Amino acid sequence: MMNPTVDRADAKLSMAHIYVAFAAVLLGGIAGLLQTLVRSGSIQLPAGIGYYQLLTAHGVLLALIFTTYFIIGFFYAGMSRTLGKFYDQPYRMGWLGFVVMTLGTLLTTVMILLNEGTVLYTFYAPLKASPLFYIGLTFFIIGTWLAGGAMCNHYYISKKVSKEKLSPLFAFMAVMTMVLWFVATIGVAVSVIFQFIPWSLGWVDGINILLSRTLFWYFGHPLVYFWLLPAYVCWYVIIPEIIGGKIFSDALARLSFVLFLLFSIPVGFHHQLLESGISPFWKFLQVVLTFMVIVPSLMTAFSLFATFELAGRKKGATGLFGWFKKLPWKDARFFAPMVGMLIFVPAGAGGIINASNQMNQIVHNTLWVTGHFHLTVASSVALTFFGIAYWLIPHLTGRVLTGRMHSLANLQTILWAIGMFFMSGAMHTVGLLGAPRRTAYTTYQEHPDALGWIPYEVTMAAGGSILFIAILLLMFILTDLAFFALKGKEDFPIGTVADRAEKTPIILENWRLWLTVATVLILVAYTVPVVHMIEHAPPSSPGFKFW
Amino acid sequence: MKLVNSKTESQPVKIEKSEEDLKGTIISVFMVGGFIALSWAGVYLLFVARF
Amino acid sequence: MHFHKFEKIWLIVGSGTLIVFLLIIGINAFAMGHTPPSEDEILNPREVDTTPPFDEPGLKKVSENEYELVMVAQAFTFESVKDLKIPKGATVHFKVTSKDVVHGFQIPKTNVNMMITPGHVNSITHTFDETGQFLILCNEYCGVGHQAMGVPLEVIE
Ligand code: HEM
Ligand SMILES: [Cu+2]
Ligand SMILES: [Cu+2]
Repeated sequence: MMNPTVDRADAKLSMAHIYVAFAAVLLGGIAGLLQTLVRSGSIQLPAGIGYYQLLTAHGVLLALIFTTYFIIGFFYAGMSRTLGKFYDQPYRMGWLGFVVMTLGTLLTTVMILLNEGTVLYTFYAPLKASPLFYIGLTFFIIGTWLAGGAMCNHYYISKKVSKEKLSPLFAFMAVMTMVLWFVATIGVAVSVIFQFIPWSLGWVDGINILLSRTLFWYFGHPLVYFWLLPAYVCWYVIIPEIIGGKIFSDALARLSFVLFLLFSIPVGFHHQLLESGISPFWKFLQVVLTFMVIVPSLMTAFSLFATFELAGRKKGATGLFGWFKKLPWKDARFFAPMVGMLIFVPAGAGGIINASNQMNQIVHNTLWVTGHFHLTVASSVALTFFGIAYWLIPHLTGRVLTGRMHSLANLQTILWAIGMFFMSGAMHTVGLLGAPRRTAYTTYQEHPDALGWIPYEVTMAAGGSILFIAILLLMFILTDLAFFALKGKEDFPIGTVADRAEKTPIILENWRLWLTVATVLILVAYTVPVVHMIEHAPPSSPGFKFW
Repeated sequence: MKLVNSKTESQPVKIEKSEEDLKGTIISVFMVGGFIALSWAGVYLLFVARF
Repeated sequence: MHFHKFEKIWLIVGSGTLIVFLLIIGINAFAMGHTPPSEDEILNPREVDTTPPFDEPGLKKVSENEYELVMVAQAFTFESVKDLKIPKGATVHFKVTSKDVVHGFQIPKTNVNMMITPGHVNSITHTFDETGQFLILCNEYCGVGHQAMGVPLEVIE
């Protein structure tokens, strides 16, 4: 049952997640700024803090904490809005999830601060962190499962009660994203619980490195879709309403999410293209599957442009691109996500290059990759999330997004785009020249190649400084919206489907079918190479603490 | 500053037999596609040149 | 399911382009021998020092203008010979393993880039057509000294 406003209790649950998310942005942003300054040789860290400790904190805070908390908070609010107030059981499960996730987050963060977990957010074996680092991660994952469970449970009960065959588009997409998360996190959970924890506690004296990396990347690629899909929810469901248009097609939106579930998991080898022990055949097979997951993004690009064009024409736009001018550029709820969408064009192009099998040799582990995901997750996704926060926070706290805040928020977006242009642009370029990622300031004993990278690293620092100012501005805006802005009612925009769009086939909501197909694809892509990794494994590796 | 409101105009949608006019859309997506193809070709050529 | 005519065109041309990309890299990889480094050989990571050929890392001449360079990656260096000098036009087969954690192996300005996982050997081949200063560096975080892990390589007349 549609609710025009999110229920008060649900709003609290949602806001709790959003607070944690943006606290992580502030801390992570400070780390990011310091990193760019260290890398360019501009500063040295005060005694005691290491570059890699900072980098671990930055990765964990931004890639894991910010994204996951925001996504869960956003979904709770949207599900409450489109399905109605959370039923008791899922509501309690939601709070339990928050507590468990937060305990895990605190434990892992403390270990990083104590320098007991300087293994970066990918924690590749056989670098060995304190067992508490991995136990914290486990709690975090279990907390997210409870959150996903709460959403699925609420969705299930609501569907029973309403007797509708088709759920609201927002709820469908949220549940699909959480299902993707369930399937993906199984890999990393198995690895952490059965490989890392026993090994770091000293119960076993070695670890199968290749297997642990494979389980990590089985999770790691769908992880990036877990970040992206909530942004797509905003682009598909919320943006059409904000621009005064309609959702282009409900059926195509659902189809693209089904395709993401199917094809975003059996593709982890595209992160392991250059390593031993996996045959070129299986690598290439997963490259082909990776290319399949580009298709739903092609569909999305079309749907979005079509939504814009139809909305513009309805408002009287003429000519080929007249609709472009009719878009509400001054509306921060539109502007931030729109800039995110535009940035997704170079971001997507870079992704296709990264995934192109042997072409990965040009870019793998260079700063190009860091430049790439600062466009994807740190711009397309982050700007969309900021754009959501601009109306969601006042909606949940009973305030309004005023005209002055619209202008400040648009300034924030512009600063972000400029800062990222310099930082990510320099990263991409110097990456092609061979500068490695995840590396503190170095000239490799005045080697001419490395000396040639320094101007780019200085450009990165300039961009990073602009980004940091943008983060401070963001904090100002969000604090105002949460605690000080004018009291009132801010809309939670949810789009409606175009009248001419065809009926959505029920098969798109056949969970059993899609989960079965997804499982089959995973088994096809992984069984043979994983069996080989286990049967043809070298003697296991002891752990090392090299920091 | 006047903000664009989502609910201002709601003109009746004309029901036509033909499909909507999406010329701007198709040109836009092909510009995106062209950008992707050019970037990809650039890095592929770099790869070939570096052997 | 119904697709707008233009969307059909877009999806067909778009998917077609992706298939062309796949064909190009597929042929380049499998027919022209440029598959990414994927060595299947394993060894005991705790006994690297006594396992040939890693018990004697270094540059070995295989034939006229063809060399094998055996290296052992360890925190925070690549063990081989002191001054790496290679004649112009030589083809070098790099053969590398790790004694401790995961390392990277990359030579900027070339396509040499691979992961070195302990317990596994990885290998890659490159022909140095130009003289000049090159740099072998580790591009996977391996500990506090990671940024120092690089050795020069010179290609001479
Ligand atoms: C003030 C804004 C930011 C700055 C200045 C910044 C800067 C940096 C720098 C310099 C690096 C490391 C380069 C290296 O490999 O040595 C990095 C890594 C990274 N950043 Fe950011 N960043 C910012 C915002 C973000 C945001 C918003 C996200 C995600 C939502 C993000 C995600 C990451 C991730 C996942 C890594 C990789 C960590 C790793 O390699 O282990 N960053 N960032
Ligand atoms: Cu991926
Ligand atoms: Cu290293």
